[in-house]
Amino acid sequence: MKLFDYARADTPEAAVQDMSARFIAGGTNLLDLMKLQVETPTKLVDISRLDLAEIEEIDDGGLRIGALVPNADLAAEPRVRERYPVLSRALLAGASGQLRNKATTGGNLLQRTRCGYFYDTHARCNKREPGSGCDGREGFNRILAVLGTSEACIATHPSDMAVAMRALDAVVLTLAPGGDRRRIPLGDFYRLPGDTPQIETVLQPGELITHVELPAPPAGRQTYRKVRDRASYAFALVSVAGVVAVEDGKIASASLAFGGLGPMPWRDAAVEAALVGKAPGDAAFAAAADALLADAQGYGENDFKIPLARRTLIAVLRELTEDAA
Amino acid sequence: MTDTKTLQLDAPIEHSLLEGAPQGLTGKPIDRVDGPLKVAGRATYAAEYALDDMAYGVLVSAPFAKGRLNAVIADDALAMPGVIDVVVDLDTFARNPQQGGEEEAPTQGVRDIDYSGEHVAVVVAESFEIARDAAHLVRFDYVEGLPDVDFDGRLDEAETPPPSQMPPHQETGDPDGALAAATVKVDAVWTTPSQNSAAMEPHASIATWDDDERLTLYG
Repeated sequence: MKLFDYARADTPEAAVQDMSARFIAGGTNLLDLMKLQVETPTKLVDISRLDLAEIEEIDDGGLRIGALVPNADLAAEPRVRERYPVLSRALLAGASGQLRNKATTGGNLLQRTRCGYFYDTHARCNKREPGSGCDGREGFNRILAVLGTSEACIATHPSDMAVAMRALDAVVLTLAPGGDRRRIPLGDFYRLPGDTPQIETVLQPGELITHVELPAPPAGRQTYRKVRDRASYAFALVSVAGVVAVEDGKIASASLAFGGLGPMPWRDAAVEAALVGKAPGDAAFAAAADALLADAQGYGENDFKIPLARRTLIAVLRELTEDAA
Repeated sequence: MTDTKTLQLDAPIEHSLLEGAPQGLTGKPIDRVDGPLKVAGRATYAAEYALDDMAYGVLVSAPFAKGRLNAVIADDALAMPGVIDVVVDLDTFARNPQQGGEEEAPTQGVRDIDYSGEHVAVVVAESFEIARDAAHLVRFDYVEGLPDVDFDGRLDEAETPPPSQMPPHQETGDPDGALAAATVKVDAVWTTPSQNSAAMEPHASIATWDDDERLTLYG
């Protein structure tokens, strides 16, 4: 890896002093990318010792999760398991035990795509080297995206955790250089690739994620279903985080987010609109799948993701509404 | 270029250790002698021996999957502090090892690149990190060809390979007879995913010239 400066921050305010620095906490993704020289930061600020590893109750019945809470701890937290099982399941569906012990909540949100062309410094990649081109569109694109893609980039976002958080309407709390604090709904946090796929979030240079807030638990059943090539330690080909409430024989509310399909944890209001007020059943479920995939575009090897997403969504909806009141 | 000793790999060795290895152990209830050490983290892997004056090598791959390599340009890598040498020899660089049981020398020569990731040079440095960094600075003069990767599209050209020197071990008993004689029969279908063995040990070894001009390899 290239030489870089290293500094350890003692407070969040101190961590955001240098806008040219990259933050490092668990390092489970950034260190790999630095060894491959996909990422070549000139300065790392180690935030792993900041006091941001607590999970607290907040007034509206939700939880405030410190950015440094390890994925393993968040998955095992009794309040998360009881109130947000979709999040616990999503976390446990990702990575391995060793990685979940190191990986943090904030870092998980900011992990980079696993597109093979992003990792291969001999290949063309607009995300790694803007303007160089994309070898993925006509290359080995089996794991790549079918929604939200652009001419420049068809990469997927790899997180499972973020998919569940998207379904739960999580809010990202940040601290910017100068001391400004922001609350960014996760739905506004990620950017579509467009012609700048190297810019993946709305975070400004030097801006630090301090917490993620979950609002009070939503009504209804929750689940996370992940379809992948192996039963463990594999990224999602398609995943669905679902929260659905049924009342009086009709779907009262639905929140559905998707992994493996797009450049960000994907959520589409049209999917939920196709369900709410309808009787649970294959007609409504098919309409929801139609809404999700109306603009889906395959690139050859990943064409299968479109019917796979449809079937996975319908299976999740059946599970969440079966025998419901 | 430093004073280096060389080891030619252009002839078969008469008797490989693999030939003498026990065969037919699959399915036998035999414990691996290194099993408990490895799962407990107590095994010393080849790269973990600490010898004096060690240098570290990192293999460099060709940046394309098919084509002709004219030259490996190592100037930038050699200029990096801590780099001892960049070993390049397009005609004799070993491409494939001598396979167990084969009586042929290792395949040599890397002017023609035939697969993605084919190794074509070794950067040697005073630390692993320096060698890994310098490997990124190696450049190439090459003519890229078109890799042929459409397996399904060329199935009609498939050929049956010649019989292997070590034919697969296969033995079929008498399931019908055994079932007919059984006191209890269970009729069910079990499936198991394909298995692929993966070494826990990193791909690394240590080589050291001994005083008597012998090369000891930790592998």
